[in-house]
Amino acid sequence: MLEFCKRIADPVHGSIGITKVELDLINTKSFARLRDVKQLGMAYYVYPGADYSRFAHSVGVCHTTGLILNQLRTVESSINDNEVQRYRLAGLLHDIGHYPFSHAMEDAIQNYFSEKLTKRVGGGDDPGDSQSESFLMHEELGAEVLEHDEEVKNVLNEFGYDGDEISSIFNRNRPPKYANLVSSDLDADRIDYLLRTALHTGLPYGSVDLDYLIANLMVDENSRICIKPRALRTADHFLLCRLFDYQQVSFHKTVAALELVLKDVIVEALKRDIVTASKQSILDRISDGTWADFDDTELVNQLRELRAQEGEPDLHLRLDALFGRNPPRMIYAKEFFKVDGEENYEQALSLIGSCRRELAREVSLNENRFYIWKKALSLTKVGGTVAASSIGSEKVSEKLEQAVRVASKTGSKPIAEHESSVMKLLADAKLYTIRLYVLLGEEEKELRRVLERKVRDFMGGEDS
Amino acid sequence: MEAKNRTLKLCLDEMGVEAEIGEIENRIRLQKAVYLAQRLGADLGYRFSWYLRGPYSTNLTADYYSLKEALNVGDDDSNEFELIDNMKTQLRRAKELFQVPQDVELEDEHEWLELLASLDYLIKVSGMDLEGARETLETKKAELAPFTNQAFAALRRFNLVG
Repeated sequence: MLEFCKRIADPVHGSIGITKVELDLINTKSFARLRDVKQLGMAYYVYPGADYSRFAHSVGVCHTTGLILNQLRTVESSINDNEVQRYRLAGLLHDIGHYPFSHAMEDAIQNYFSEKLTKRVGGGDDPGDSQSESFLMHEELGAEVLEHDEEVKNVLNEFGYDGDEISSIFNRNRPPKYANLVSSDLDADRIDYLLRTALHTGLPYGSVDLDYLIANLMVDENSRICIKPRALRTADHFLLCRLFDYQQVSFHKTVAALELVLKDVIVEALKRDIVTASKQSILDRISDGTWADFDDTELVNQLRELRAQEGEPDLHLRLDALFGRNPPRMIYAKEFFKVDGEENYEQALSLIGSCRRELAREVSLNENRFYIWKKALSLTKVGGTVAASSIGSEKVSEKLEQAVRVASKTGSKPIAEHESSVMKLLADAKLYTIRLYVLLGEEEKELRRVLERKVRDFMGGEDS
Repeated sequence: MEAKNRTLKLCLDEMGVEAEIGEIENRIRLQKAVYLAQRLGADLGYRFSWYLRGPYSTNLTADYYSLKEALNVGDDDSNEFELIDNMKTQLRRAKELFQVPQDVELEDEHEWLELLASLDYLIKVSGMDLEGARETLETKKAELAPFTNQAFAALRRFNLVG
């Protein structure tokens, strides 16, 4: 068993044991940076307690990974201390490459740099050197931190670990020993996320029986991690809780609206070079140590700098929406659960797109003041894109590898194939959500009711 | 249309890869084509991990579903844009790489792309030598493994492996 040198009090897991190498990594500047990168982006604008950091989550994932592997050791004698430590380190460091405000910024960066790879037809010469304008997604960025941050690298090397070997685990760069240990519907990352989010939001969707779930993990003959059939209801419950969590937190109407605006203003800050995020600039920051400063506070300060500049009124309205918590207001929403619902969903999307154009024209607002938010969410990795009915066929998909599996007489099978699971009923269904928002200035507030009426008429009288 | 979807569509068009993703064969073709295009320098920023069918990007999956949605609802302004010249050059090279050699008896182009992308990934990302990669392919992809030499030769011709 690993020897712990310190214990950290944690509101989710109680007392978390930490090894010396983990402690030294936690004390590096690049890891400490995660104290000021919020896990849930703008959710704290709605749920005041939902401002927990990726620092706390990462420590929780390290601990949960250890719990899972210690359970697997009871049935797999080949798992040794070194292996447990490597996986715990991967859990600890898996988010070290996240940008400030995480996915919102990453999405903005992706859109900004993608745009630079194109030009208007007949637009003349290319706008720049595309080679120097590439960017890093957070997983790859994490690998760069492990490889090039002197402090992190030195700690890993001192204890006989190599950055590439650790990032290869969380990035799945090599065919893994256990196919679904790192990335699945029931991995350590998702488990800690759900429990921690429930605790900090005050919502009741984290009352998952983690001890029972972990005590019932095993490995099938194909080295896939699965649960014993008696834990089926616990796994079903976990997946249902995750659905409710997404609906209530990430997809909350105000959280989603604020994130749409945040992405917009980050793109504007990138265009004006107030924020830089090219691959080269990030690699430079890792090398000179300033990556450790690139946290939520730095980004917020950069956006304040953007607000201080002369600019278009619409941009200032967006910045005021963030700083003054005046989010775009929802004027229409349609939400439904359905099997094979793509056609209905796309019809509604098409209609809402036309509606947006029509509304903008009628009330003389720029179309970019209207935001469409859409999501088609599957409950499990199986379903939605892989019909549960076709799971048994040879045409397996990558998604199948990420499904929760239940032990059976012939090995294990995805939970959605199990006769008595709730997921069997729900796996093929998706939750479809479409919303239309409008961003209004103080003097335009009265337009909201007018727009709500117009959109209702346009969409055929459906209530939002 | 979101910029990332527009750029993805223009890249797929340039490579002659359909944005249709109804069948798993289409999705494999699309995933492996983008992986190989990125390796040739057309960097769209996707990061690939190893899954059952070789290199696979969850972000790319999300984006091509989003692209499909946009196209199905008529949200498509891609004809007003074109790729910058450097991207076009790299993507045309990728298209050449996708040509299945005559001595490779695989039924469909997606299998050739799966073999190319998997072999390249095992060598360049997983850090295996050719023999290690061949062994892995024989275990994980027995039906593709007999054509490992041809795939290695093709990757070498495009300077992707040494």
